[in-house]
Amino acid sequence: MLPRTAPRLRSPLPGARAHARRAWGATRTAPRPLLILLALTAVLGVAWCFATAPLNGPDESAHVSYIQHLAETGHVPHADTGTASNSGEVENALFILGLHPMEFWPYAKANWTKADLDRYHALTRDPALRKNGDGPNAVARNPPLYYLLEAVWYRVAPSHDLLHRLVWLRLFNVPLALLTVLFTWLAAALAFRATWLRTVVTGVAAIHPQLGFMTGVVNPDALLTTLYAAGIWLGLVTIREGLTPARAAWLMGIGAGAAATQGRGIPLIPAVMLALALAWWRFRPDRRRTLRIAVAAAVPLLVIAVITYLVTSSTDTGGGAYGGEVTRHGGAAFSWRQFGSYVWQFYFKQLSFMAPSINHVYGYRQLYIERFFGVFGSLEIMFSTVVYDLIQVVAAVGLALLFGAICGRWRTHLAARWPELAFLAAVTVITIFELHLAAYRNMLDNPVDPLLVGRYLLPLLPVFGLAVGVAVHGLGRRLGPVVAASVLGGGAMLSLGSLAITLVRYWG
Amino acid sequence: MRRRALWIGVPVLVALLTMAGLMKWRGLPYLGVERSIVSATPTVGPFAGVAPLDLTHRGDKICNDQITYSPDTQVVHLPTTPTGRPGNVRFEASAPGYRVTRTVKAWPDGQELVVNLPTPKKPVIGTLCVTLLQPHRHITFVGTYESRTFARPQATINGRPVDAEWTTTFYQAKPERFSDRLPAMLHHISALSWPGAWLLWVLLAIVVAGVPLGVVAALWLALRADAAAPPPA
Repeated sequence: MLPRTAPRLRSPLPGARAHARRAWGATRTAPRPLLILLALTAVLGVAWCFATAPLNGPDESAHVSYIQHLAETGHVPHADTGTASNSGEVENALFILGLHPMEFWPYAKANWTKADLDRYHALTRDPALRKNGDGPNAVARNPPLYYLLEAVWYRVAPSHDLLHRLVWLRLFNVPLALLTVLFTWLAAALAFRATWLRTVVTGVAAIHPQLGFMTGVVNPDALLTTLYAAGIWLGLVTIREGLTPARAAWLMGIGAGAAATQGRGIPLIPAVMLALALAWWRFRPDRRRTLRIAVAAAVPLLVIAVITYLVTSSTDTGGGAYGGEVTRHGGAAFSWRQFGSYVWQFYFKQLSFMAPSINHVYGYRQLYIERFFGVFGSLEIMFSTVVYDLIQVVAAVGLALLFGAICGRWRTHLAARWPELAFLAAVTVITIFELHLAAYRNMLDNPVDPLLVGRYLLPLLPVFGLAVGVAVHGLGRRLGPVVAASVLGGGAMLSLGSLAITLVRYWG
Repeated sequence: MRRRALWIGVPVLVALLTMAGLMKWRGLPYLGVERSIVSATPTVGPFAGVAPLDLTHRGDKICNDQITYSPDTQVVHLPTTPTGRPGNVRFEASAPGYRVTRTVKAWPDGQELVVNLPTPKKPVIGTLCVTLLQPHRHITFVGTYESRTFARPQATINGRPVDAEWTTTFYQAKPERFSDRLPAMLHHISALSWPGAWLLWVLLAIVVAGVPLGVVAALWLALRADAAAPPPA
């Protein structure tokens, strides 16, 4: 006798199905503003992947060559030796398609006709041309985490054509940007009860033109930004809710991951260590638990350090994963007095007892206004001056509002949360101090090149968002949302405008 | 709630319009105005110093190979430096199925040699040459040795390769606006990546409409959620 109903077929992947169901459930219950902001991040990120011409992001040809060599041969390219900086395939793209002069000349265009592409493809058929970029590679001294992840993605990309693969390599950054925005929301949720404030904090990150631009190019800064956002969120959670071995392990893992992504990620390690120390001081776990926490924190640090060493020790990077902008040191002697004078004059006018700064043409406006909000490509795509003037005025008003909000709410709201504020301040100060230090050391060699660009500030995007949130919160429940709407509206236009000028520069 | 939505929508709209106006007239140099369109840059100019490429005798001939001629390469610009004795030249563009010869007389000394070209129906790769036609004359074209400018074409003078790149730029004949250029821009992106131009049009529409609307929607929904939430204890 046949059963009345056919037996239900078991899913071949019951676990995956359950995961998918849980993920769908989480999505359905997620705050709608967050979902919208994530969608905006994804759309802008994808658009930027096509807006910037191939291999024309900051040092993009070197980053792509690193990934390609690692993926094709299993080895990191050499920093100082080798036969070719780029593989034959990358070299053909740069020269046959005219992408190389585009990096330096604002009016230069690529060779995009069918005749040019046919010639490029005819000369690039040999698979061996993908494997011969063994160095010297300008970014070979970078730590390997981002390149390892991208190398895996490179292998699974559905096309072997470099131009197609490059788009896939760029698209890898879109989920990273989504995570950055998600962690920013989670950090905002710890700081603010009101959903509109969380939306403002996350919104300024989601539509930030520099985040979109860096999502659309192959560059480890994309992963570094995500890891910073994760570290900032988890640091706040740990300080607020307590120290556990798992949190300690994750925090140190994130810190070590940042250091294994970019030399500029090293400051996250002392910052998360401060978060652990503050949480320990606040919750005072007993000695046995403290020991477990210390071991849990040490393990990921050691594991990532060993992996980094193993990956990089096979090359002439000297076994160290850090070079270039982090450890570069010029011929002149380091002077703390000169460094202090340089930092002061970066932000303020020269005082009577100070010697002129090592570089007096690059300061607050250039870094925090122009390059943080709106310089793209290889630093040649800019808005007109009036746009930066407007941003500078808005930033000055914002800083005044932030100061007023902190003063006004210190006793009622903020004093009790000083450990969290101290952590946020520490992340910011340590990161910016390291940037100035690296810039100063570089300028001892070449005073003209400040080696300090806006994308280096992207890891502090959640802190920037929280600062905007505090500033508009200080305006109260009537005026605050109106100002927040204006800020986000202006940011949206800035984002669209930056895409437009990038399109014109490369493709028009 | 409706009043709150108005308070959100109006500032966003004002901010958007202000920024849009600013962008169009002051912020984006190319958005609202017609501009000359550089259609191809086989070899770009120097950053620092000019490497002179001299034609000093009648019959001296300078050439660039691997030049792409396309329906967009309508005017060629060849910068020169002053010599005091510019002479007449013959300009030749040749590629499979494409041949143009022009004689250029007495252009201003030290200024760009500008030649209007008929265009091929489809892109072809060929050679561009200039020959000095008069004795006792002297023409110096602009070249560069800088590695940042290295490009595909190889320059030769009288058949002998020279190390310098010979600066050659093509323009479209008529200036265009940003909006006029959009179809061409998306077509160019499509040529150097995998999505078709139609998909890029869809993406563009989503970005242009979605970003401002998304910002308004996110804030409006957030305020609605706050209004519906129970007051803090």
